[in-house]
Amino acid sequence: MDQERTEDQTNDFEAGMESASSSATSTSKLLGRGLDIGTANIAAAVQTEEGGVEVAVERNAFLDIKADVYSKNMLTKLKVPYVVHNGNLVVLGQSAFELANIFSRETRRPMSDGLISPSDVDALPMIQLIIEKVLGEPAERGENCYFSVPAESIDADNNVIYHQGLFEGLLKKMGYTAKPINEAHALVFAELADQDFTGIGLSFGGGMVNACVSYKTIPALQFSVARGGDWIDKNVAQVLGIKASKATSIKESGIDIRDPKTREEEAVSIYYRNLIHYLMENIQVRFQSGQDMPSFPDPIDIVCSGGTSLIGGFIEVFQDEFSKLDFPIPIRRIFRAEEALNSVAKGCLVAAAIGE
Amino acid sequence: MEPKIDVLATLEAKARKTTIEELQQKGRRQLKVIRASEISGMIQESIRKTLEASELLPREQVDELVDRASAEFEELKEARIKEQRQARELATKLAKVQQDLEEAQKELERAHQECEALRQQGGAAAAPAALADGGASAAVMMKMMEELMALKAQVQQGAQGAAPAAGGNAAGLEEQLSKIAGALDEKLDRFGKKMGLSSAVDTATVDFSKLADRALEESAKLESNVDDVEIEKRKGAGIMGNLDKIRKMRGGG
Ligand SMILES: Nc1ncnc2c1ncn2[C@@H]1O[C@H](COP(=O)(O)OP(=O)(O)O)[C@@H](O)[C@H]1O
Repeated sequence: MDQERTEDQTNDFEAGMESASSSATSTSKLLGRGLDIGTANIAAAVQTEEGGVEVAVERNAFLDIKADVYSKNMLTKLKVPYVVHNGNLVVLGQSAFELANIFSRETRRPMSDGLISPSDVDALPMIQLIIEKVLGEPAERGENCYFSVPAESIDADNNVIYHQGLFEGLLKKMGYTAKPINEAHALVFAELADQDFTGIGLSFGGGMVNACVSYKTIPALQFSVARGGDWIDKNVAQVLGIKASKATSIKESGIDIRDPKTREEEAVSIYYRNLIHYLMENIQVRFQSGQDMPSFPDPIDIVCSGGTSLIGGFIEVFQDEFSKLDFPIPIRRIFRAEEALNSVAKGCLVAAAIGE
Repeated sequence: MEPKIDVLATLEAKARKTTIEELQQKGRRQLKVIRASEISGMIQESIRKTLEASELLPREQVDELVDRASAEFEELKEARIKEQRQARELATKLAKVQQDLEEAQKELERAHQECEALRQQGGAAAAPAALADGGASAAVMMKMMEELMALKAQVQQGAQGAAPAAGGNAAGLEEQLSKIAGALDEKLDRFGKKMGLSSAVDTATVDFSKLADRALEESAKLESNVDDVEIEKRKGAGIMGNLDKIRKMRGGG
C-alpha cells in the first residue's frame, strides 16, 4: 500500500487543475457557493477572479457578557463583533473563543453536538449573522449554494431533518437556491478527483466525524459518529482533572501523538487512537453488513480532513490503528487533505457548480 | 428604611380559615363580619389616642405620624391587591398553557397513530404512500413544534411578568412556569429528534420558512457591529480540474 501522497502526484494534480482552469474560466466567474456549517467553524467557499478559491471562516461560538456602555465601546473600538441580544452583549465567532480563553470561561456553542436543535432557537439569529458574514449576498438571485450536513449518527439520536430544513430555509430567504450535501461526500468531491471520486472521505470535526464511502461520485455508505475533537478534549479533561478548554489548548499546541512527551500528551494520544479505531471498525462492520455495497477491484484512497486531523502524527497513528484491522476494502493510501480546513467548503462549491 | 407594619397581612396571617359547614356544625347560624380596613382604621385611631394621652409627642407630630401610617397602609393595601390580581392572572395563564400542552400532545399522538395505521395498511406495494406519509407526519410535527415554541415564548413572558410580584404565591407560580418552559424545551428536542429519525421524510414537504423568517427578522433588528468587522479569508487552489473530471465522467464536454 502506498500510504504517502507523493510530491509528483500532488504536482500532476495541480498542474492538471490549472490548465483546466485557464481553459474554462477565462470567460466568466463561476457561479455558486459552498458552505460548510461545522460544529466549530462556519466556512464559505467562492471562486475568485483568478480561478482560485477563497474561503471565509468564522467560529461557530458565542460568549455572553454583561451589557454596559463601557464594554460596548471597548468592543466597538477593538472591532470585536458583537450583537445586543436580550439585554446581553453577545460576542461572536473567533473573538468569543479568544475572550473566553482569557477569562477562563467556556463559549456557548449551540451546535456542539453536530446539529442545531429546536431548543437552540435563541441562537439562530446569531448563527444567521455569521452565515451572512461569511457567505455574503448572492451574485444573482437564485445562485446555487450547497451546504454541508452531517449524516445520521450511529451513536446519538440526531435531528438531521430539522437542521437541514432550517438552514435550507435560511439560505433560501437570503436569495440562494440552497441544497444540502453530506459533509464527507463533499470532502470526496474536493479531494478525490484524481481517483474518479472513488474512495473514503473522513471529515474529523469538533463535534463529530463524518464518513462517506464513495464509488465514482455516488455515496455507497455514509454515517457520522458523535465523537470528534470535543470528545477528545472532554475525555482528556476528565482523566486529568482539568478544564476542557485547557485540554483543547494542549491538543492544539503542536504536539505529536506518535511520540507523547507528557502525561497530558499521552492522554490526547490515547483518545485519538480510540477515536480512529472506533470509526474504522464501524466502517468495517457497516460495509460488511450493508446491502448493495460496491466491490472495489482496485485499492482506494482514504482522505482525512477537518481541524481534528491537523494534530502532529495523525496520519501515521491512523495507519498504525488501521493495520490492526482486517479491513474489507483494499486501501492504496491514507492521506490528509492539503487544505484540511477548506476541503468541505470547497467540495460544497464543486457540487454547487455542477448543480449535483 | 423604617420598618412597616402591614396590618392587612398581619390580619391575614393571624386569621384562621373555616368553612360555613364547619361553623354550622358548631351550631352557629349567624356571623358578624367586619372589613379589614375598618379594623386597621380602629387600630390607627387607638394609636392616635394612646399617643395623645401619653403626651409624649406634640399634637402636630402625632398627626404627622398618623398620616404617614395611613399612607403606608394604603400603599401596602394597593400592593397586596395588585399581587393577588397578578397571582390570579398567572394561575389562569398556567392552566391555559397546561391545557394547550395537553392538547398539543394529544394531537401529536393522534398524528402518530394515523401514520402507524397507514404504514400497517400498505405492504411493500404501499412504499410510496408510506413515504408521502412520512412527509405528512413531519409536517404535522413541524406544526407542533412551532406551536410549542409559541407556547414556550408565552410561558417565558409569563415567568418574567411574575418576577416583580413579591408575594410568595407569585414566586411559586414563576417557578412552576419555568419548569413548564424547561419541559417544553425537552419536548421540542424530542419532537425534533423523532423527525430526524424518519429518514424517509422529504424535507421539501416540511415548511421551515416561518422559522427562517423569524430568525431573519430578529437578526435584522439586533444592534450589532458585525458589518464593520473583517473576517478571516483563506486562499485555496481552484476546483476547475474537479469540475472537468465530473463532467467527463458523466459524458459531458
Ligand atoms: N492544530 C490542531 N491540532 C489538533 N486539533 C485541532 C487543531 N486545530 C483545530 N483543532 C480541532 O479541530 C476541531 C474543529 O475542527 P473543524 O474542522 O473546524 O470542525 P467542524 O467541521 O466541526 O466545524 C476542534 O476540536 C479543534 O480543537
